[in-house]
Amino acid sequence: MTNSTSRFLHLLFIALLLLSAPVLAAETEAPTNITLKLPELKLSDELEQEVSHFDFDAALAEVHMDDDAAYVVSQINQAISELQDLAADVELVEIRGERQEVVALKFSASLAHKVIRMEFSKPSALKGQIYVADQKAMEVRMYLPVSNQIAVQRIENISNEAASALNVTDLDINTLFDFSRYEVALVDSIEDSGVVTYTLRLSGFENQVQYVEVRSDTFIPHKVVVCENDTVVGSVTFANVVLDQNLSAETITKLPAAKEVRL
Amino acid sequence: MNVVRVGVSKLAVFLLVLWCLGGQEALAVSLKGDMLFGYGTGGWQAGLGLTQETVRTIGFFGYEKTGIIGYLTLDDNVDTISSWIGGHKQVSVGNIGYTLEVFVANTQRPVLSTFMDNVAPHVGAYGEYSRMYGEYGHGLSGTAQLYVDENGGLDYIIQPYLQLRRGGTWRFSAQLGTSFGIGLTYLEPSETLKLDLAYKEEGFSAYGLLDVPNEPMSIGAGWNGDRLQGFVRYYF
Repeated sequence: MTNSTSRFLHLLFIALLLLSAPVLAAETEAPTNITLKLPELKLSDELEQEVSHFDFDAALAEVHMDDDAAYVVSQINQAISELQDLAADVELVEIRGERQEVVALKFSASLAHKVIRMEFSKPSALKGQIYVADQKAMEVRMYLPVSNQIAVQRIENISNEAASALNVTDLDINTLFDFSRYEVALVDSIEDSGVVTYTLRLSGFENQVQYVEVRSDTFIPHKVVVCENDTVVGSVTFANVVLDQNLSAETITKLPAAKEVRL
Repeated sequence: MNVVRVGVSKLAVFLLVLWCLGGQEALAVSLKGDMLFGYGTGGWQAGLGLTQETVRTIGFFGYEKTGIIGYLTLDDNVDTISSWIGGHKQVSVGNIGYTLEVFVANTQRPVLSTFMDNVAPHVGAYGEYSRMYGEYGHGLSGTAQLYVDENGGLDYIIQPYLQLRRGGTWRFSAQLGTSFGIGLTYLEPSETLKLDLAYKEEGFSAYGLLDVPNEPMSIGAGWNGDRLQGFVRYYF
């Protein structure tokens, strides 16, 4: 994984955690500490320990946030907290000088069934490729159009690889769980036909800044723009977002009839 | 405790862990063998095959197979042992795939696991490039064989092809080079049944291979005008 991708994902991860946290303070009565048990995923010992002792409230308290930003974040969090499933067209753009790398895919996920699906439409070389992760079956399935085959991999094998990956990449465990450097601010709000579009600014990771756009009718983030030194280096856009349509596990995991190859 | 919140957080960690694999490689190594029992132009035959293959995932998007395949067969009415030993590398990523293969043999390059033994000893190379566009695709494959017996000589074949995926995979190919012809290959979606038909200067050829469902076994037959082979292959 490249440094820029790592940082980009790091920020996205932090954003996800930030957006997940505030509702806990409002809804939890007794224990504010949440234990994230990931029995199936064998992370590195250090990361496993950090994750298992992770405290959302403590992490959130470290983040600098003004009242306006806190309001928007809490609204986002509330919208997400009730989420059962989600489907969206996702477009990832990475800008390298004058070149733009665009990856477009249909994304769907169900928290109830613990399945994720990504169906690629761009770039042309990946069109038709489908990726399904099923946490209940503990399998990841990848449909390859060129060979018309489905490659099946066990998640525990993947997680072992990931654990070693986390050990060797530039992800620093100490900084990954240090939230004191992060700051969230509401930088813009535009009203149009009764719907307000808010823009949150997330900063604190070296020279990267992330802008998250969210509309008041859904409070589901629909665009994330990543900047480095005031230059846009990438974006993630969510379009045609459909929430809670009771997606079945079969709908999400359905793949073309093809030979399965176990890796 | 907010269960849904934990679910979202777990999903975030899960996605992060999965995404970390984008630049990583998962590796699987396998060693398989098979026994062949058949009947051909040289009478009853028995054979043994060994395949060592390493599968390496390429990020989220594909995999690479590298390996060595070797076959030995002995025919009842033929004094020499027929053999085919090759190393290969196959890469499949999204809509693009390629294969490279080098081999040493005294049989024809296998078509659907069928080995015809009327060929002089040779070293050879095979390459293939494939590109799909939805249901349609095209590709190019090429084979070159350098004979190492006293007569020597070189055979080469280039096969451009078009591919259609409807109720299986249909491949229409032209054969150019030291031999000219046309061909049609069919792969049933689950690849249980494979057929290969060709009409060349040397005549008509037909091959078929059927994997027996839920059994480590396949049944195949090949006919290329003057030679015939039917076999059962048992995998272990």
